[in-house]
Amino acid sequence: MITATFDYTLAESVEHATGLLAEHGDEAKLLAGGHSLIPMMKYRLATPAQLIDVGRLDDLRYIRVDGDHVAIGALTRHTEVEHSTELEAACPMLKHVASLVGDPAVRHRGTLGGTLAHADPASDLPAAVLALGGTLVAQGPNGTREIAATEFFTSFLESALAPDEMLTEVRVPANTAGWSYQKFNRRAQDWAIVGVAVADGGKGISLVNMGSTPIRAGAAEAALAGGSSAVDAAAVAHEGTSPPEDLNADADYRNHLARVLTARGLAEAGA
Amino acid sequence: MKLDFTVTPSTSNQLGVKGVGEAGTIGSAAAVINAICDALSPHGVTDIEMPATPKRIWNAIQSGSGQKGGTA
Repeated sequence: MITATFDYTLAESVEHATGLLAEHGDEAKLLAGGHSLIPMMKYRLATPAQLIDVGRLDDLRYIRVDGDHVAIGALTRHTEVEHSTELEAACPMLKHVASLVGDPAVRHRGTLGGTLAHADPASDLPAAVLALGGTLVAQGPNGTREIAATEFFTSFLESALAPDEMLTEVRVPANTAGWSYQKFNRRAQDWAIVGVAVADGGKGISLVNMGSTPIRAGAAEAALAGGSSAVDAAAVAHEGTSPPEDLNADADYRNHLARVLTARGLAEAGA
Repeated sequence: MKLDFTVTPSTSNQLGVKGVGEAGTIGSAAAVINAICDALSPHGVTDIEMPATPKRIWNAIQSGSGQKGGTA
């Protein structure tokens, strides 16, 4: 498939990029690694008239431990997260999840900010950041603001970013408490049919591909917080979700997977 | 599973060799499906359509009726 026609501009700075976003409005899309956006453009599921390439804003490629959290530049590639010694010490869960995204080619191009801004409910890293209770930093013409991950994913492939804002940094708590990432799929490089991210010894549980956005397993979290056993908490992991149906799984099977994977994840996390 | 050898040289060429090609693959699919059905027989499953995806197996167990392929 061939993309629709579009104009291309190489952004020289975040200010340049957000200025172009403000100028072109809904017609514009930011291009980072391109491993989600370009396929969508080839299928013509996305037809932006203006691509703004932020891929050379190398200032936004960093991983810094900063006191109680780790700050990761939006253009940090998955492979850099996957192999980060800083994250291994401060937030091993994120490092592990990055190693499971797509295949090596995807991980060498795709970026953390890109996958979060894309807001795919079937992606691994958005759910991981959600379970960790991360914070997203957005920059627009009026400055920067912080958005809690729990507020960031608004609907299918939609985020709380304003049309003229760019995601510049992802912050996750420095947290080495028990964690787990359970990804169920049939082929290693596929999206999860269902996935479960468990962070902070079980205090943060999120679900992959169990709704139109990455979601927290609120019922299971509440059960655990209320003193239920991990097994009992996992039994309600699917409650409040609206899982999609496709060739891989219907809703009943996804609910089943959410319960089983949550049980495994809580066990691995020592909850 | 029992493995055996048969030694019947081909008469159509000087080396006596035969092509075996995909002969080994023909039976393997049936053997795998039979093994799955055997494993699921306590659930009343008598047949599973290929490909035996996790979803099909789960559905077959849930229905327990052994209806062909579950509700793929």
